[in-house]
Amino acid sequence: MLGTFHDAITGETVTRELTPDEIAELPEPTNETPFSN
Amino acid sequence: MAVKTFTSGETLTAADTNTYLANSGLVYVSSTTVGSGVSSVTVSSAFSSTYDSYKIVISGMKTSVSSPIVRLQLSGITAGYFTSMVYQLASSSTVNGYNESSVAYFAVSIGANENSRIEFDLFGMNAATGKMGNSEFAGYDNSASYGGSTFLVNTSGAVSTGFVLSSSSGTLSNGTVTVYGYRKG
Repeated sequence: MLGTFHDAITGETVTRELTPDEIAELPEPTNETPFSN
Repeated sequence: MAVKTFTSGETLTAADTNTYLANSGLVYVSSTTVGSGVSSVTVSSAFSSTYDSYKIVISGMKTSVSSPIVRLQLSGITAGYFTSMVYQLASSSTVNGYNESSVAYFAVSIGANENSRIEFDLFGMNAATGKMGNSEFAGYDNSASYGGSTFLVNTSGAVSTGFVLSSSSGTLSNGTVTVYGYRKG
């Protein structure tokens, strides 16, 4: 799983693989959607 | 921060320029380009005591699946988020509602797999009484357009310095996330 990371102080942006800890901190995925389009 | 009135013929110094002219009502903080097929977008050090309220504009972002929920979690705050949302598809006159109560994120938008725009304001970022906000969004998803608004509350008094965007399903691509601060008096 990839993530984009931006530091507002340095202005640096990187896209890299998420660590297991970072993945665990993400909200639980769901298939819920307000409408089916 | 004071406002200075310059008189005719007065010398404009570098110090005055930096103090009074570089700080308008809405002040640019940072800009992030969303990577391709990412599960999250993390913006760190976006918030500080310099501002109490912020505007975040997300322009051109696409989701890999149709109409998921775009989520925003304030860094270090994993509970106490409430969202009330109204939305309408352009193909119908029906106004719909959606809500999420006491979850781990704000539901700031319904994502779109072709194009989207989200603009939302966060208030009380340094207040012990919690944070509030609202967003407006528009999306173009599977050739259908829609728009809506949200009303956001987080009950935590913890100070957060950044945020993480994610999708309820699938990944995020494209677009720019820009943060502005509302200048304090």
